[in-house]
Amino acid sequence: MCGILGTASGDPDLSDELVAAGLKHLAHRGPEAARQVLLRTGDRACILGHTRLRIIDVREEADQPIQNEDGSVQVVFNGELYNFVEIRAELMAVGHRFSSETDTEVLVHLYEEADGDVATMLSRLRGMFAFALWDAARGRLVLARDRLGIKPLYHAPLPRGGVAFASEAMALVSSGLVDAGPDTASLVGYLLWGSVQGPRTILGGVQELPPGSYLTWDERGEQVARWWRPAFDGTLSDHDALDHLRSTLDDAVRRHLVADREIGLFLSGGVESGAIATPAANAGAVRSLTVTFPDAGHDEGELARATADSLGLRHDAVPVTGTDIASALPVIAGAMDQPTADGVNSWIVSRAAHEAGLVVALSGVGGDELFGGYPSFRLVPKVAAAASVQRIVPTSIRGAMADVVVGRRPGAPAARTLMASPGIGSAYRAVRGVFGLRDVDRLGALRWIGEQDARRLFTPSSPEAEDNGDAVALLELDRYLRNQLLRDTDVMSMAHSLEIRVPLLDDAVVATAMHVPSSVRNAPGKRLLQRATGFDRAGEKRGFTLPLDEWMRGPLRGPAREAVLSDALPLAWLMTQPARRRLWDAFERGRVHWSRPWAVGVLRRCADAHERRW
Amino acid sequence: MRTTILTSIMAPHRIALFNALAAMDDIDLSVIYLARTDPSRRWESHESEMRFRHHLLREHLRLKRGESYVHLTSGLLATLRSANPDVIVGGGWDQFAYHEALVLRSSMGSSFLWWVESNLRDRRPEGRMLRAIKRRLVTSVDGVVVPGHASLRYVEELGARPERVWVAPNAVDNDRFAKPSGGRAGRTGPVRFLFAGRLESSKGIATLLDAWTRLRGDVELVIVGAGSLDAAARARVATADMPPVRFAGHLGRDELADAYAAADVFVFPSVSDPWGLVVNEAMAAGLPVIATSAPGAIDDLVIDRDNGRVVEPFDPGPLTGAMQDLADDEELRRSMGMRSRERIARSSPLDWAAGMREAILAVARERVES
Repeated sequence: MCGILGTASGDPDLSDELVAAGLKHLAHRGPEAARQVLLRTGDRACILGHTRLRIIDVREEADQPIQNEDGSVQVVFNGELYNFVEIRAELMAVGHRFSSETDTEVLVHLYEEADGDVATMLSRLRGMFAFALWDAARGRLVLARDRLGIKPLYHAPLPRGGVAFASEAMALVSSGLVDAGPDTASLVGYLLWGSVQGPRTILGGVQELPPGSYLTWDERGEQVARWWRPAFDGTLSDHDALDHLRSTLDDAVRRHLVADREIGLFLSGGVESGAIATPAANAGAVRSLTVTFPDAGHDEGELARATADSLGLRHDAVPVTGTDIASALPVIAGAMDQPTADGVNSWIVSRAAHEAGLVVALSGVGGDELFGGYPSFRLVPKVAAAASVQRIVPTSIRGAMADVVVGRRPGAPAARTLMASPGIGSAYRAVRGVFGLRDVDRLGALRWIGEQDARRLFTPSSPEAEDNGDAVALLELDRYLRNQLLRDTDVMSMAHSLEIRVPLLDDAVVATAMHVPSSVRNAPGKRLLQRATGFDRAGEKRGFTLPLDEWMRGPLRGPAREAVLSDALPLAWLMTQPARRRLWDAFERGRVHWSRPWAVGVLRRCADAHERRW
Repeated sequence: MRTTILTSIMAPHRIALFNALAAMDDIDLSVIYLARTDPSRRWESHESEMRFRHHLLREHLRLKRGESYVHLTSGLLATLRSANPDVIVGGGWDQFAYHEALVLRSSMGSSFLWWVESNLRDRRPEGRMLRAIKRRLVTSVDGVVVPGHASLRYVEELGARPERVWVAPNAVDNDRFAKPSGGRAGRTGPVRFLFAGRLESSKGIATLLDAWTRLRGDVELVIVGAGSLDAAARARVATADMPPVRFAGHLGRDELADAYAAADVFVFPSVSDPWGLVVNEAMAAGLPVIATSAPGAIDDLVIDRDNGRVVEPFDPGPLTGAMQDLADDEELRRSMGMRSRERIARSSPLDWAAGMREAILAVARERVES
């Protein structure tokens, strides 16, 4: 796992020093090596920078950038390719000569073999990746990202023309390559969702390269193209679905266990981690890890230990308390490349894995999105149906009714339903959002971006899917998975120099799942996944959720309250002081879900940690 | 030709246009205003400068709709009968009085022109029903007058036949802004960027301050105008780390001309604007214009990298880049400003009046012939 950063430009004065500064910012992603090369083609130049965490072919000779035989194609790469052995053999058979054993080297030869056809090249790759490739012959920079966006990649125009890229958005500004202020619209989007909605970032001018996309920069300028989109077709029968999924999962987990470093498993009490633990144990994995919360009313320590014992795994349970987290809050906020209301759990388990000596760990991320594990699969179609009926009631009346409902029961789905507009995309925002538009307005943030524009910018389009289960799955993949879960998993694990692999999001597993009819795929309790892996945990799962409500009324109360109320922290102007005070008071009286003050506090702590004097 | 223009409030920038039309030999102009002003405007009406007959209807109720107002009035029928116009020009979609006039015109034997400034990028609320009404209207009236290409595309998309649409280029009294009492020529100090407009979210104030946060060098931003974001914007500027910003508040017409004259660059990051007359004013003052692609004026007046820069709304990065380019290059500011002045010379009150006259005469002639 690694960090990549660099530039391409027609400016002859490309700055080595700024790239070096950016690589220092990314040192946590790759603490074992840092290199950069300056490459020139005519009047165009490119700097490719890389920080490395050595996992496959740990020799120094395999450090990046890596080039093809004549040096005309060079690449820096972040991620893992799980089919590189097969591709490498094919390429060697047609005459390509390799100088390392890494998966990375496959990229330069495959690009050559595809004669610069980026989409063709990418379609061959199975894995999680983000890379930057310089094609000297064409004077072209290629940036590319995996299908679902497991590995991050950001880009921004350079002040004097050209493009800069990095694995983390903040690296672009901390390096000095890009000078970016806040993006208020993006901040409003964050309040609505609890995560920054790509391709925007909170940094004006810095953009995320969308999942399944690539960017080319050459003499024609900059162009972004999509090379893959998820599409559900439901063509498999129930019986075939089970067989296909079982064999694909076994194969995927085996491929995810390839490394020259020890690999552990994150275990909760849930289906996803159990589903990968079973084939992983069969394939030789020996260690597992879980986090427990001794000062909270519940955790999944016992369930996880039971799973580990049944599979013969050496298991560590790492206790975490609210007091631990209170003292670590500034560090956690600094680890967030962009604010997120949901990343602390990833930070905690990653720290635990790092302290246990692990460099690579498998996680069950993605199972809920692919196999209908979230309540949204049930709620969103209902909310959409209700919204189409209730549209005859004026918004003001529905708003008043919603206020009454919320006053009695914070976060009640009925209140969200009342404010939803017709359409599955709008219903998804109503169900999944942290704040509604009215709430953001009450905070004062819609003074800056009017309601109509906020709605237009941050309500997802309804997917073109006839089946509601498929439509919700597409929204989950495009919104929560992309903007929150995968981004948090990447940055929080990387903050601890840990590579997290997600076999349930393996390309072959995803492709198989997309062939399964939603009625089978989204059966309650992720039944399909349980049947495919033989891991039966129906009804016992409580979910790996942090006891933040308890902690914010206990050890986290002081720092959380300050983060919401203080005028000394950044972004005081975004929300009015009386509105922030009302929000905190409502939380203390139990009238507002903890996620709302938490989201506000995290936003301001994150900006402060990155010294954004906004 | 007896012509009555029906318009909402006494906007001072329209006076020069109506004066130019009234001065034409074959046009006998009267203007009916629904109200003197509305709460979102702090204009003086400058009624003494009006060289055309005008009537103010009695306003009974004012309804807020988004950032604009609907004026409920009485007395239209009597006023129209008194004027007995050959042609009625209805100044938009959003006032009941315009639709009332449309109904009355057949009994009065008048032709009817819609004066439409909306464009396809306009973000004012437009439900399916309103759109259906508009489609019906543009095809049922005698003609449509638009200020420029953005509105032309809009009415054509609604179904208006191209031969029934006339362009009267939106204009201001260029001389008023081209002859300032002060001037930047003798001024030293920071490069001065100027924003003028209502301080509302639709004007892109948030994006402007986002972009301004990272501007480098000896620069200052002057914000002219008032609105609901006034206090919030001042508080943001006071607490966030950014180059100097000065709030000038609302300025009268002459003071505004001085503000243009003392500025180096005009910046207009609006996210929705049917036209944006401040762009005309800034160009008449010889300023390069950095604007978003949203206002209708941009299609006709600002050419990217010629007399300014055009960026997308809600995108502070390119806005910062455009402002920085102009902040760093005095010659670029001078040459772009010169081209602004050359270009706006083709959009004067006389040009507007000529376009409107052509439409008026055409529809009146057809009525006579039919």
